Amino acid sequence: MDLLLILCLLPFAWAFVMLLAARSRASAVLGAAGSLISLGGSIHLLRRVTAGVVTGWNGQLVADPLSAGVHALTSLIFAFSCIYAGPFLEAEEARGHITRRWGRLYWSLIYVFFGAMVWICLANNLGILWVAMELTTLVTVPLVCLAGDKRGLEAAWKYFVLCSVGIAFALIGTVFLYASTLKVAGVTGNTLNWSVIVREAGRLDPMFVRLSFLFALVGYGCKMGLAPLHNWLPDAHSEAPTPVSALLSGVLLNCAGYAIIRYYSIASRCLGPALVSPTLLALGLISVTVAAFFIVVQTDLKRLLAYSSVEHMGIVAIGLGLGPDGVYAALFHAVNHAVAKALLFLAAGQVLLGYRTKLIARIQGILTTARPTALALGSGSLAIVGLPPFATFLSEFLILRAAFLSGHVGVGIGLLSAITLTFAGFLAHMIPALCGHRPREVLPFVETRRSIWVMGTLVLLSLGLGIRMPQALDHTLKSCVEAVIAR
Amino acid sequence: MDVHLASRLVELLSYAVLLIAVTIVAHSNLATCIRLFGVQGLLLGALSCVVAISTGQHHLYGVAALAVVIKGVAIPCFFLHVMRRIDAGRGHEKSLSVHAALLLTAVLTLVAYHVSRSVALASPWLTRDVLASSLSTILTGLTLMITCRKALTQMLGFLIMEDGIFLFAITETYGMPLLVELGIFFDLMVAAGVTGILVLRISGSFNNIDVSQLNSLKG
Repeated sequence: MDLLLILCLLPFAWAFVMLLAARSRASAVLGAAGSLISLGGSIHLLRRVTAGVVTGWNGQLVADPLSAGVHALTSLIFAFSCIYAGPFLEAEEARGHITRRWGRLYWSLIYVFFGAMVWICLANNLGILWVAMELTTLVTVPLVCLAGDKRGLEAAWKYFVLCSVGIAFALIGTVFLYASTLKVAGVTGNTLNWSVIVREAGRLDPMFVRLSFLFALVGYGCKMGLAPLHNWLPDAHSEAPTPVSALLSGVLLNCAGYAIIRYYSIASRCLGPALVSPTLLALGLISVTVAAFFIVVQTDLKRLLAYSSVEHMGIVAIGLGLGPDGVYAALFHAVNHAVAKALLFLAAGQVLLGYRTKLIARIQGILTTARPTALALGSGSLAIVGLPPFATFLSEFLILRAAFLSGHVGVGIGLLSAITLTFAGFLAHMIPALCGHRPREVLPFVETRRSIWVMGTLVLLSLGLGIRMPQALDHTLKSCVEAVIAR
Repeated sequence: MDVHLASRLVELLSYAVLLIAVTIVAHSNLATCIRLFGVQGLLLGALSCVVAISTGQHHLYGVAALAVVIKGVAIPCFFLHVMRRIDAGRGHEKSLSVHAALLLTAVLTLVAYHVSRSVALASPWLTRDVLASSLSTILTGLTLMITCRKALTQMLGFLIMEDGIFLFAITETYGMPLLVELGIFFDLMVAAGVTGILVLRISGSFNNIDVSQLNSLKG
């Protein structure tokens, strides 16, 4: 049995199944079931890669610890999003915000979206990776404008245009890389497979690899939301329906980061880290700075969360540019950010259902209207700003430590000040929202047991990783670092 | 085919591709622009055929067929259909005047020619001019995307950019592997479909497809 091929095809098969489900209750059950099956498969894969690289479909699919790890994280957040989406969509359908046809289409599109992300993780061919990355944009555009109001349409159009152009640059980068491998004598067939290119990286033409890395960084960096190419991100993430926002912020950004890591590992093997690291550090520092200022002046709850994603992707980029210790911390941080951001978006979605506005000034006193949601939103906020004992504190601390120990004092100070500014700005918005006086016109909250369960698990996950990191995760991260950086 | 002849043919075809891109920037009638884009797809198909015949890269025949069918016929027909549905034929409504846009294109073309001097080629018989045309086409598409205020024309700019990358891939690597090309063409078709849906919905909500009015999301 070809495990990788099954994992790659299952979401697309499920997308068809979801089209057939007639009632919204059936959709919810089937949707959650499919995501749990995928999650089981991804954990099985994660165990198998500890023994060595797994390949499938004649070597077209490949999983090393890094791809298996990103795949498992994607499946995990996807499962949470799907379990949450069931009651969410039922409520939206009951209110008449969306029709049953749209509900069915939602499930189908979300599974195609997930399938594309699985291909990003497991494809060996960097061309296929590009195709899958573009596909994620194309299927999420209809999901962003699902509600169909003017703001949603505007966000969808900007997202579509800016990400398509960004991704086009990554295609140019892919062509450059392909050209460089064609010139190497003795490499025949499958010359776009990263498993082959990484092995031969030392013999590639440095000029082509340099161009390829820069174009790929611009292209996938746009998709990852690195400033100054982040303009589409706050729009798309804030206008999308809640479960989609959680996926866009929690996992799609990581998938784009994964693509950058693949190019990074090729480029740093070919050129040495001297060229590769400074570009990542620069993009990362710009991102955290820009995001910090926009967080301070933000008035919209979901845009606040979106800018926080820009900030955290910047932190990940900085970590990647800081050598082995930094890469370890960056990957850990990506996991923590995914968990905390999914939690925040899901909790914020509950709040919006009750308050019917995204303006932070009008969202006051959640603690008195809906205690579980408020607790989830509060812990998510503390986690995202990096307060101990949440896991984000640990990973941010490790990145700062790597910066100062490797002699990048300026980078460390810049990052530290941006994190401090974000800390103050984010909590200044959140504390009144949680503890202020509640306005009169708030609707009674629909807190289903399932959504509370989902949010509670995410809180525990974020806390647990911070208090005691599991041995298995530590091992996986260490073997990822070895895959990324040549010793 | 004689190598010299093939080389000249490819060169000529690549000039024509660039010329069409520049014409689209200058032209104000959307229907003509879409048809011109179709012609560009046909030219790219012919170009891949010439390269396939003279180098024996058989997968390029498949790529040529895909380019003709999808870029030359399917996407232009679909865009014309969408355009008629929303009745948006006249007026480019550029945020830059045509003269300024053309001047920008000319400058970018010079830049592309300059840059192409320092990049190595896939094979000695493809001249630098082909590479320069491909880069200029990419930049021209980008110009169109930035200066245009109509949703359909913006996507046309993206597709022209993609045409430029297609040409670039042929000059650098004789085209991507067939599997990847298949994927790219699939993405292009989906992108055209998504454009159609979005444009129809935007024109339904805003009564026209001027994207400069999409400006409520800020900060």
